[in-house]
Amino acid sequence: MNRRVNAAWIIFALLGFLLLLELVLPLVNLLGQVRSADIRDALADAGTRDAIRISLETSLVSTALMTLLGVPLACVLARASRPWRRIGMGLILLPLVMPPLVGGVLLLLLFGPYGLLGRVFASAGIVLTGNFAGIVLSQIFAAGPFVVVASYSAFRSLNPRLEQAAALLGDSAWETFRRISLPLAWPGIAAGIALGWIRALGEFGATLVMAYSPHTVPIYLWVQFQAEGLRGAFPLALFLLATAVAALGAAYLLERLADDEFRGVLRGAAK
Amino acid sequence: MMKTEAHYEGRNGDLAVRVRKTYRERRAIVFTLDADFAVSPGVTILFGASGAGKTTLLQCIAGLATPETGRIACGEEIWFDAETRIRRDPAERKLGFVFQDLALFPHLTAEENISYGLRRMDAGERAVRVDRVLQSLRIGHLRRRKPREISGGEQQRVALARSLVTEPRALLLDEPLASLDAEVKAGIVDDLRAWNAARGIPILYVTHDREEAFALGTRMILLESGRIAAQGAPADVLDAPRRETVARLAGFENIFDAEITAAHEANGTMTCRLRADEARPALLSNVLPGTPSDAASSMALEAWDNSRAMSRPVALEVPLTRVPAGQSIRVAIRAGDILLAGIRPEKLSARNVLPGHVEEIVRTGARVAVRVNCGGVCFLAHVTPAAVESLNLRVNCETWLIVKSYSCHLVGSAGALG
Repeated sequence: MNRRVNAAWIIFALLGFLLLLELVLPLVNLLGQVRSADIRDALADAGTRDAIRISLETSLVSTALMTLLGVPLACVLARASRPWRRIGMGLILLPLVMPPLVGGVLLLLLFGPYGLLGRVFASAGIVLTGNFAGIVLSQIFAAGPFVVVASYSAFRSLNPRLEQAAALLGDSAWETFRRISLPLAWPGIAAGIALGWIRALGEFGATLVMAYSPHTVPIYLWVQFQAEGLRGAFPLALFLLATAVAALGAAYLLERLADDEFRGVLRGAAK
Repeated sequence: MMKTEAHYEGRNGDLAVRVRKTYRERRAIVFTLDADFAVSPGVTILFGASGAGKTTLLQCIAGLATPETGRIACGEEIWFDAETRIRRDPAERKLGFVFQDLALFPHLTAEENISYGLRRMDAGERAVRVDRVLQSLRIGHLRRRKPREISGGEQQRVALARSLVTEPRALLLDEPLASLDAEVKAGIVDDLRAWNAARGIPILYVTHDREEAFALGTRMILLESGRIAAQGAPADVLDAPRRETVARLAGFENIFDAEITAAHEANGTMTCRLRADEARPALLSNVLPGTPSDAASSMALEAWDNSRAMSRPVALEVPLTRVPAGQSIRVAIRAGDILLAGIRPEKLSARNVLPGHVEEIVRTGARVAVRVNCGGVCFLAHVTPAAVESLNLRVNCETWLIVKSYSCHLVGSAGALG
């Protein structure tokens, strides 16, 4: 029996390692090839600086909106009955499984100058494509699900007894949410926000269709790649990489916080 | 040891509960809760096996579940009335509730947990109340700790303090002391009693532990499959069960069909004839095929079948009750109430001395279960390992079974017997 287990383990490890290589090697390779001169040049370029500024501004606005709208949605969904939960989550997950370009096309159909909503806004003088708004819409579409799904899981993992206890101690529904549900679900929600932000920052496909300019970092990276090849793409790739790592780190730490701090949600955790 | 019931003065009234609630699964009714009772000031035990509906009942009283019909009132306050469509939110019912899993807020300290329900109170008075309850439950030293940093017993006290500090008009406790050891339990129980001595509110205490029930309450309500099976003093409800299902719950291992053949007024007894029961009494819960006891079991079972074929009716003398002769009843006897003897005993007060042979002996820890076949009727007796040694009890050896009349309890399957 031991021999069989060892052989299986070795095969699994090899297969896994191959996949790991494909994921990690490119990263390591990039870090090895970048030169500080490239970075200095890139920062001197106005286009790069503008792209970074646009990306940061739009992603912050998108993230704020996603949070404001997504967390209440997650809360409502978490308390709904099973059929509604399934339908709701199904809809929320659609943008995640859709090719981003397709998402962009769908958004353009709706918000473009001849689209259903685009027409209404246009008559009021508001344009929603090819500008800041267009970028934000694309980012929300692509990254919103992250916030909703993470918040939904966080709310679902709460012990309903806690909210019942709060109610029995005199809290209204809003007070229970504010003092019990939200604080306890917060680490999960925050992790979702971090991931949502980084997804918004890296949004390319939908943005390409909805708002090619002003250029966000991913779009500008594409432009530079076509103009100057790999060398031109390095610094921007590094920027996105750095922010991605930062966001992942934050999300991981927040999940850890949730586990450690609130492991005692159920009585069984008592020593 | 009769506990005298404290007499509570004051404005606290009874908790009157009448509820009916049905649970369905895909249109089929799986469970019905149908209860009508009142809890007066003091501790009342709500006793029953798991699944009997105790938690559901508490949830209805607390407003966390809504009954289909009924009325729930605490003193003069009506919390629920299906007819007049009154339905108060849990937040509006001045009720204390200690959940089975405590539900302490993990992100708050003990002190914050306890003062949670006093948010609208003036800070000074709140501090005073919190201090007082911390002191009476002896957890002052834990005030700044989080729930995960304190022991199970301490968590219990904090959960209790959190409910008590709001000065509720009634208190519900759902198996609050499960998984605590006896000493810790006793301490908490004493503190709770002391607290209630001054206030006298109705307290409904749910448990399925017999010892806890006896230790705590002066009154007991027995819940079974959603209905109240019995009410009264714990000793009455559990020690002399009038319903067969209660008998099983209270731990009567021997239950037989019997027929009353004669009544002896002068002696204070009746004779009843036991019918060899269709089902063999369960002795072993796990018998692995191929183990020695399995072989002995099958031999014994064969012998049992044989003896049933040529059984003489077994007669027992039981206490005199107002049941007409010829009526069929069931007799319940605790295994721990049966004695075994190596030789025929003489001059005993016990009225029932039956010869029989040992069919099976199973030891679990400090207790030995012995199944004895007396004329086709199998009795289960509990004795100590020492007894097995000194009597040299072996399978198939002859022995004498001794049962007092008063150890024979008559139970009916529907309705109580007098």
